[in-house]
Amino acid sequence: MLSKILLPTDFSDHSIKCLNYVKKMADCGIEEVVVMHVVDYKIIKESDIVFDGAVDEEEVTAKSIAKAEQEIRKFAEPLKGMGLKISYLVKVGSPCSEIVKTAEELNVSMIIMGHRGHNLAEELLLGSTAEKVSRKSSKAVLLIK
Amino acid sequence: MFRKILYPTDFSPSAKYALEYVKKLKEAGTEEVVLLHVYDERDIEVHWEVESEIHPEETVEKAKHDVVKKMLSKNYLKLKEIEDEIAHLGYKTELIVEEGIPFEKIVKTAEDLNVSVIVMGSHGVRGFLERMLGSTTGRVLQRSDIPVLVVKPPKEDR
Repeated sequence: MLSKILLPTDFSDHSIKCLNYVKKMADCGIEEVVVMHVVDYKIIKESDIVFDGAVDEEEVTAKSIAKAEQEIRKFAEPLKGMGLKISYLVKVGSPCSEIVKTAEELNVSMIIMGHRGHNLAEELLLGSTAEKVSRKSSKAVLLIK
Repeated sequence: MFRKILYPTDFSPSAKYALEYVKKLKEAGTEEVVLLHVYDERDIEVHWEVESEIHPEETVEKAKHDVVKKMLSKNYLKLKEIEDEIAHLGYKTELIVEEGIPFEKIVKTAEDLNVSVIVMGSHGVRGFLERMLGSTTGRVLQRSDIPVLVVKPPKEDR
């Protein structure tokens, strides 16, 4: 039923909450957790800041990926020792569509994401990635505040 | 983590699909299911006029009251059928049928009964109007501090 979980993270406090939730799900029959981070392509494109000495877009992307590869392993550290299979995934693109696509490709049982809950005005203008994923994905999405 | 579930339903196809998911959660350790239907009090305005056409002698208040009474007992029976189905699977159940604003009642019930998670259906499409008004699921997501599991029917069923 819940054998494979997709846990997207932006390394925020909300993501850590989700990680702690997954830790408590040990008796729910989980076998595998896919921890995923999406390097937001829009941010790279729009950013003028020189990232880690990188000068062009390509270099910024490469360095962002390398950094995320390290961070994602550090992030998922608390899941170790639970007898779970843990895999890591770093993608570049739009967070929402990459998450939706990956969930389909890997045929996960559930996506677990954190969100903070918006008021109506914020919701109209933005809508969080988590809420967007819950509307677009055909997979079950568990949203944690 | 999923010991006690709140399953709100408006009897729509997406809510029915969420029910299938609820049934499967037994494997994930679910023991108790609270079934909730909220008759949307905003629908009374639509329904009472029909009622008063059938009984023109009635006052507006009486017509509205009759509509609510009728809807609640009709929907109670519908939910009772679902409860039987769920209880048959070995879940402990509780059934609640109320009148009010759905998202408010859902959030309040989840808190009052201290459920582990709310399992809700969503049809997955959101047009401009719905974005303006907010779907019940969207509203619950905004308001609830309790985790919400959003379940959608497969694309071909939407």
